[in-house]
Amino acid sequence: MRRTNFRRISWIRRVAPYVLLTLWTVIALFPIYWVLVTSLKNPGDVITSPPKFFDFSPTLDNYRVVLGLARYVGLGDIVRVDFIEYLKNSLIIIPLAVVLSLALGLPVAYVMARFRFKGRENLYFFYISLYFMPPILILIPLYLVFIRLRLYDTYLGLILILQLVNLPLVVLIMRSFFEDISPEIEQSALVDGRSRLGVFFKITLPLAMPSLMSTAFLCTIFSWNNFLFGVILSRTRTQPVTVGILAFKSYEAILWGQMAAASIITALPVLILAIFIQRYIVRGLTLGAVKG
Amino acid sequence: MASITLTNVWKIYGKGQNEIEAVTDLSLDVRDGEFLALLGPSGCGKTSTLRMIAGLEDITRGEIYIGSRLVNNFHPSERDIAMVFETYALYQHLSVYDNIAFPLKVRGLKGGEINAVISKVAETLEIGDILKRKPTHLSDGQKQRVSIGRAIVREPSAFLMDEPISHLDLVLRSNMRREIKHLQKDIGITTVYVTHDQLEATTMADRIAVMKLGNLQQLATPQEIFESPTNTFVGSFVGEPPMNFVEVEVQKTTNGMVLKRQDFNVEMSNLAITQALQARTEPRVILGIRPMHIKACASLVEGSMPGSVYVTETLDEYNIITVEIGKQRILVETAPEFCPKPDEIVWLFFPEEKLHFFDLHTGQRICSHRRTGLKGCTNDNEYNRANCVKTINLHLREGAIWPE
Amino acid sequence: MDNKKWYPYMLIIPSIVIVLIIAIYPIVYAFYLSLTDQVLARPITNFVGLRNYINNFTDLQFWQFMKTTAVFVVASVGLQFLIGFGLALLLNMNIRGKYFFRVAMLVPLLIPPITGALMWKIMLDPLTGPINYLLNLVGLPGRSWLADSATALPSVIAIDVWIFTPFVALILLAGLQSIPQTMYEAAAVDGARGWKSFRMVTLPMLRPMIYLVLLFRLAGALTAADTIFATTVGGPNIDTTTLNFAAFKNLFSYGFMGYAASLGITVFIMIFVISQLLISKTRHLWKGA
Repeated sequence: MRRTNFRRISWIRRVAPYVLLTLWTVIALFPIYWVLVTSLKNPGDVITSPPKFFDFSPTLDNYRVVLGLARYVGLGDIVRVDFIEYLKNSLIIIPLAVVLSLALGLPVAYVMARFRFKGRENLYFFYISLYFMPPILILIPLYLVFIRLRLYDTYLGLILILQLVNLPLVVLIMRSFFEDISPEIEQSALVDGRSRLGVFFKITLPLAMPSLMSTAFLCTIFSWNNFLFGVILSRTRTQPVTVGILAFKSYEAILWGQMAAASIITALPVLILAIFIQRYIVRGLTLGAVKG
Repeated sequence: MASITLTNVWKIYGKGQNEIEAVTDLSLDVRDGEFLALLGPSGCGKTSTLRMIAGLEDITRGEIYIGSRLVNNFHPSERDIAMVFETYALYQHLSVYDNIAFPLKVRGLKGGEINAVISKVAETLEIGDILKRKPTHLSDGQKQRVSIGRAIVREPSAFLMDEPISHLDLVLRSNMRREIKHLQKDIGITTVYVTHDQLEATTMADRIAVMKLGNLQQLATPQEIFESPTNTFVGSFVGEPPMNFVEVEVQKTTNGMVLKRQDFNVEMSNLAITQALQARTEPRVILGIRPMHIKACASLVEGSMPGSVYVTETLDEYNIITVEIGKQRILVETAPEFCPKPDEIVWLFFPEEKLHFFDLHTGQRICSHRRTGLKGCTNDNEYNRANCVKTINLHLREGAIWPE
Repeated sequence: MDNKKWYPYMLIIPSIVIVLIIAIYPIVYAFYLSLTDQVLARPITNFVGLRNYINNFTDLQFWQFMKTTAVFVVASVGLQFLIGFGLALLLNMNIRGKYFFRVAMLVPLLIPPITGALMWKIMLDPLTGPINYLLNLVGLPGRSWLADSATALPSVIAIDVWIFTPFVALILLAGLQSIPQTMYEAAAVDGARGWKSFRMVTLPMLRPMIYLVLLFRLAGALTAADTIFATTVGGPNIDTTTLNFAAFKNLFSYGFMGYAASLGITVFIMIFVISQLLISKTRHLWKGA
């Protein structure tokens, strides 16, 4: 839209947005960069003061140690952080949790999208409120309950508790997506003689597949990123990677490089997944309220 | 209250290879208090032109004056114009009252004054009962009136309207046509009205600027455009059902000449026209005639051509018959009683004085027989009766001819 | 025929059962716990009514937690808003490379918060971290950011802002982009330019989105723990211990279940009040389509 004479807009106003955005980009990405660089440094190069930005010879040793492919022989303690165990735990727990939440949540989302029933909006708000529930409030009693039920430090326990995070996502986001699919397609199939169930599996689901995959990825990201549940409800056997990463902290001064490598390893999967859900990020983050 | 003048205005989008000329060297004027319609198909540049007048688009080249002020570099708010948008563009978060009050509030008017003005506007547009509602709770017709209300409340120098009634249903549309025209005459503000509907333009406007692909085709009163279109485009665009065009060859005969194309034969004896046509090097021309000017008879009449009926459409006040003469399809408007069946033979007579001639290659008007002594807006429908063997008065008036 | 009608509703039951088990039941239990004096190490638990809450009222430490929480929430959410809104406005302009900036901006939000906080811990290390080094380059003194009482809370706030500002920016950007261009054009013709246009068109149209973001971020800030866990673990002393984190500490380190539960309930009440206020304001956004 036209404003005043172009010449009157000083060049400052034209350049400022780029400057500001670049500034923020640097702030946002510099830590990642730094940690990446640290992860590629030798132990000697890591704890230099002043810190080295460029002049070091990169090495993949940190990654090797973290992934259990090499043994760390350090000053003093022979310390081993079983990072690979934590990775394994996360890789088992999270996909199972996501699958479970899809199985539990999809029907709810579909029913809410297609059927009108009394209390539908109440149910909707119920799931929303679940999302805003302070985790601490749930974890304190669950800690006791899990111990009693022998769910403490088990895969099943964590899979179950992660439903708290995933179910609202699945129900609310998929409802919004199901509503986007015109019911007429299903109705014409029903008229053709298919059963409701058949319609769901043969027609609705394939149509919803892209959004379903995105929701699944979103749940994976949220579950992977979750820390609190793991730190309280698991101990040595089933700690997910987000908890395990803290193990490096106790050996602060010594294991920077490995901590950095572990950080990169925990951050990488979600960043990759995020690429696939580009289009749905806004809808995902706002639980379907904003279509973005 | 002001006139609007466009001088050699261009609008070009894009750069270099991807340049698009939306408006090409447009010069026109809108007189003070006049209702001017910018008429044309989509992509003709009418909306770009309107937006340049409003200041919502940059003017690539040329000057635009509102009154005596050169407004090229003025912000829309500085041009003293009001605009009615195609999609109404109402402020969703404000009530009807606040929507209409918005331009006044922005200019710093106080509550009391605002109230007085809005009451008057609400009364004029009959929206007094919906003042508290929000746009989402209004019907299209109401939204449109609120949009107009917001425009008139400031008493600007000019109104700019961008297809304001195109999204309304048929009944509402014809109502609003009359309302808007009445309002404009009542308030007397210079108005530029963009539309693609030729009926709107011809019924509402004092003058019409017909545009095509960025170029002005003709700027004239609806009457002039109807009777003397400058080219085939204007001829086909204005007038419903549209003008018939036949490519014919001019051949000399003993009494004058005949226009021929296969089975198509029209004899011409008017001296001036035959001279103008024969003077040209290219023997072929495009013949134009409007459906309502063709006489159709059930039986042979002197000077008429036979054709077979393709289809007959029955409307309330008249019928439209599509007749095939040879490979040509001609539309004819007839009285409702005349209702032949498909494949019947009817005879068509083309009165000389209703013929338009256009250049074959450029489509520009060559000449036409202009009637003098118009008796207001009467139709010569006495000819279009079922049994028109009776009287056919060929009004070969000598009248002035306007060769181009 | 009756059969078919309620068949679909049966499908809802499994998920509700799970939710009952992992959410409703624990919350009720938590309420109960807060009324006891349960400590993990002790075998006997007594029901003490509201004693925990009453004690909190007179407990200096409790009010210290409150203060820390207030500072944390207001500063963190406030900064997220200011910077996020600014970013949204910038990204809404016609800028080349818009897409790149938007993607880059999202990274802090997408990685696990605990990882992000840990990265900052590495960065803020007084001796080996680049932050102090860069500050020294421009003549500013370096500090022990996370160990110094004066800078610990601000540092934690800064990290939280770093992680969550993209969220604000993203949602507000979506809101800005949903405002039709014709609205601005109508406002321009009507006489509103620049700041006036922003105040009278942009802001009002953005209001529901702003409430939505506030809701998410306030709840998020009140229940934040990842950042604190990774960096200061509530320290030094209790300088970075919010109410929420205090509850965690009491569960995690001390086992004061009853006390922890009472703190948790307090946080819950705060979130409840806020969400009641804000959910009603954003109601029409939630209605699905």
